[in-house]
Amino acid sequence: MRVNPVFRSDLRHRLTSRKGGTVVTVYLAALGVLAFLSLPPDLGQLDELRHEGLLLAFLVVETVLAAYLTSATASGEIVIEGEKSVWDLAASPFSAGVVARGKVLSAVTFAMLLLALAAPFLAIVAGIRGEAVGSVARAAVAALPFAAALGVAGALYAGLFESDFTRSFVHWLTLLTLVVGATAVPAPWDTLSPVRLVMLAVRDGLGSRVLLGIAFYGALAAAAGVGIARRVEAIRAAPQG
Amino acid sequence: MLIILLPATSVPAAAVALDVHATLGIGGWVSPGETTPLRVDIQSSTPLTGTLQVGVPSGARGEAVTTHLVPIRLAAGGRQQASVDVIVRDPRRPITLIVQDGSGERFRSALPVGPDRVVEGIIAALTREPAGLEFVTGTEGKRRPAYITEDDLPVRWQAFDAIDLLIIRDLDPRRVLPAQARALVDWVRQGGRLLIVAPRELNLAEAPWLRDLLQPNARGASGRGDVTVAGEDLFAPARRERGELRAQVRAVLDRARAPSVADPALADVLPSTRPLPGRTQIGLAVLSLLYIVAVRLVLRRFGAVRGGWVIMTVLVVLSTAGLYTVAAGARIAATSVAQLSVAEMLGTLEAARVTTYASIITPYGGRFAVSVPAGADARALSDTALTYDDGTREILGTAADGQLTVVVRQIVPLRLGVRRQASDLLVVDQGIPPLERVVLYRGRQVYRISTWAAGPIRLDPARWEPVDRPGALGTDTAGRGMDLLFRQLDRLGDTTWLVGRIVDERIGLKPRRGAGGEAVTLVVTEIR
Repeated sequence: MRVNPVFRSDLRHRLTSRKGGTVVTVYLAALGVLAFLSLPPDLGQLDELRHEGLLLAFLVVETVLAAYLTSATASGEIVIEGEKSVWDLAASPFSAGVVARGKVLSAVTFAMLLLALAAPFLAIVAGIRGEAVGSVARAAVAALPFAAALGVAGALYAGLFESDFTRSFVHWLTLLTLVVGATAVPAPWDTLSPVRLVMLAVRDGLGSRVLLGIAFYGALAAAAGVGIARRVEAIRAAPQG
Repeated sequence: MLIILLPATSVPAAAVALDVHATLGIGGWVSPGETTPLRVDIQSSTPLTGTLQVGVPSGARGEAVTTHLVPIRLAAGGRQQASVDVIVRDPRRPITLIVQDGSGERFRSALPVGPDRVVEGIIAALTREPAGLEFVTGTEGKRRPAYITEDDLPVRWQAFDAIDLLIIRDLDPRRVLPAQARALVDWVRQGGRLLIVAPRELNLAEAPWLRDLLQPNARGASGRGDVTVAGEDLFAPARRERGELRAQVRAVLDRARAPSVADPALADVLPSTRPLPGRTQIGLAVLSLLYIVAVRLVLRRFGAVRGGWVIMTVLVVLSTAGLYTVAAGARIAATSVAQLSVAEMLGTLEAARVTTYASIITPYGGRFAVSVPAGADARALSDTALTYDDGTREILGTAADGQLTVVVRQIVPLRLGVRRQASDLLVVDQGIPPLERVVLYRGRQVYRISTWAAGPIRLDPARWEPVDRPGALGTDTAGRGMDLLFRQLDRLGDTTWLVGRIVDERIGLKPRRGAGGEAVTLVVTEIR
C-alpha cells in the first residue's frame, strides 16, 4: 500500500523534528503536572469537583490541548521545521486531492497520537480516583473528531491566510468559539462544544447526542479537506507573479 | 408487647412457605437515635439458606438506608430467631424486611414504626401482671411504661439503651437465654438502673447471674450500675394504691446515672483525611518523568521508521498499565482507620466499657470494609447508607465525603488494680497490663508516672503540674484525646483518676488488610 506522501512527510517532521519533540514533551509535561495537581485527596471533596469529577476535568483539558496543538502545528502557528504548508504544496507535483487527503490524515493521526500519549496520565487520575477506564475510552472517541477537525481547519487556514496575525486570529477565534462559545449556548446546540461532548460521552456513553457531535466534527473535517483541495486548485490557477 | 405478623408483599409463589414475625423495640416503644432491638422470627416449611436483610431509613431526608444482613439457615419446618439492633432515626418511614436465598427474593414486607410509638425513655417491668406503672405516662417528658416478658429481653446490652429503669418482679430463669442474662448483667454493670421487687419470690437458685448482682457482700458487683432491692412486692394492689411503687421508681430515677466520659467531642481529635504518602508521590513522579523522556526518545529514534508505531504502542500500553497499577494501589493504601478509644473501668470489676470513635478515611472514595469485634455495637455518627453484616461481622459502605465517623461500644475484660494506700502512696497490683504515658489527674493537674509496674508508687507532691495549656500532654491523638478526657473528668467531681495508654487488640474496628490505621486507647479508672 502506498502511503500518502504529504501525510508521511508531515508526520515525520512532527514526530522527529526538535520542535515537534518539544511540542509533545510540553504537552505531556502539562498533563503530568495536571495529574499531580489532582492527587491531593481534599480536591475531590470540593463540591464542584465531586459532582463533575476530576477525571472529567482532566479529559476536557487533554482534549482542548490536543486540539490546540494539532491545529496550531497544521496552521503554522507553531512552525515545525520541514513541514510543508498548503501554499508550499500547491507548488508541488501532488494533485489537490492528495494534498487534501494528506492534510486530513496528518491531522487525524497527530490528534490520535496526542490523545493516546495522554493515556498513562489518565491512568494515574482514573486509578487513584477509582474511575471506570471505559469512560476514558468513550471520551477519546468523542475527542478525536474534534481535535482532528480543528487540525484540518488549521491546515486550511494556512492556505487561506498569508498573514501570520490573521491566521492566528482566525485560529484562536475558531478555538474559542467551539470551546467557550458552544458551551454557553442552550441544549442541544451545546453538544457541539467539546467540553459538553466529552462530559456526555463520559457520563451517558456514546448516545445519540454524542454521535451527532462526532458526525458534525467528522463533517467539518471533511469540509475543511474539500476546502484545502479547492484552495490548492485556486492557488495553482491564480496568475504567478 | 407488640408483635407484628408481617404479610408478604410482591413476593413470588415460593415465598408462601415462609412465616415471618417481627417485634420492634422494648414493649413496642422506640427511642429514635438509640439502639433498638428488633427480633425477627422466621419459620420455613422448606429448607432455606439465605439472608435476612433489614433496611432501616437512616437519613433525615430518608434516602440513606442502613442495611443489616443476618444469615439464615433453616431445615424444613425449622424456625430461626434473628436479633438485630437497629437505630430508628425517622419513625415515619417503615423498616423493610427481605428474606432472600440463592434463587432470589423469597419474602418482602414493610414494618411500620409510626410516631405514636416514639418515646424518650422506657420504664420496663418484667412482670406477669401488666399493671402498676400507669403513673409513668403523664410525668415529665415522653417516658412510657413497658410490661415485658423474658422473651423480650435483648440479647445485647447496647439494646437496653432506651431503658431508664428495668424492674424485675416475675422471672422464670429457665426462659432467659444465657445471652439475655449476659446482656442484662453487662447493661447494669456499665451503668444501667435495676430495681428488683420482692426477690424472695424469685427463683434465684436458677439465676446465679441475678443473685451475684444482689449479694450485699459482693461490693461493686454491679459495677457502675444502680441496683435497688425492694423487699416487698410494690406491685401488690395495696402498695400501689399507697404510691409505694411510684415513690420507689421516682427515687431510683432521681439518682443520677454514672455518665460516660467518652464524649463524642473525642471524634474531633481524629484526622478526617490522609495525604498520599511521600514515597508514593515520588514514585509516581519518577515514573511519569521516565515516560515523558521515553516518549521523546522513541519518537526521535523510531518516529520515522516503518513499524515505529508498534514500539510507541507498546510503550504507551505498558506505561498506562504500570501507572494505573501504582495509582490504584496507592488509592487502596490511602484508606485507613484512625481510632480513639476510651476504656472506662467499671468500678471495681475486672471489666471496662470501651467507647471507640473511629474515623474511616477513604480520601479517594470507593468502598470500605471494617471488622467489628464480637459483642461490640457499631453505628455511624452521621446519616450514611452502611451495611452491617452480622454473618461476617463487617461494616461495608462508602464514605461520601471521603470520611465517616463510627462509634463502637463494647465491654472487655480488663484488670487494672490500682488503689491508694496513703495520700502519697499508690499500690499497683500484680498482673496489670502494660500502660504508656500514665498520669494521675485531679482538678486540672497531672502527675506523670514515669515507671508503671506492679508494687508501690510513692507520690511526690511537688511533681503535680498544671494542664491549663492546650497540648501540654502532646499534640498527637493521644495527647489531644487526654486533654478532652480531662474536661469530662472535671465534671465528675473532685476525685483522682488514673489515665494511661494501652494497646489492646480486642478494642475497636479492624481495617481490612492493606488499609492503614492508627489506634489509640486510653484507659481511665478512678483511684479509690
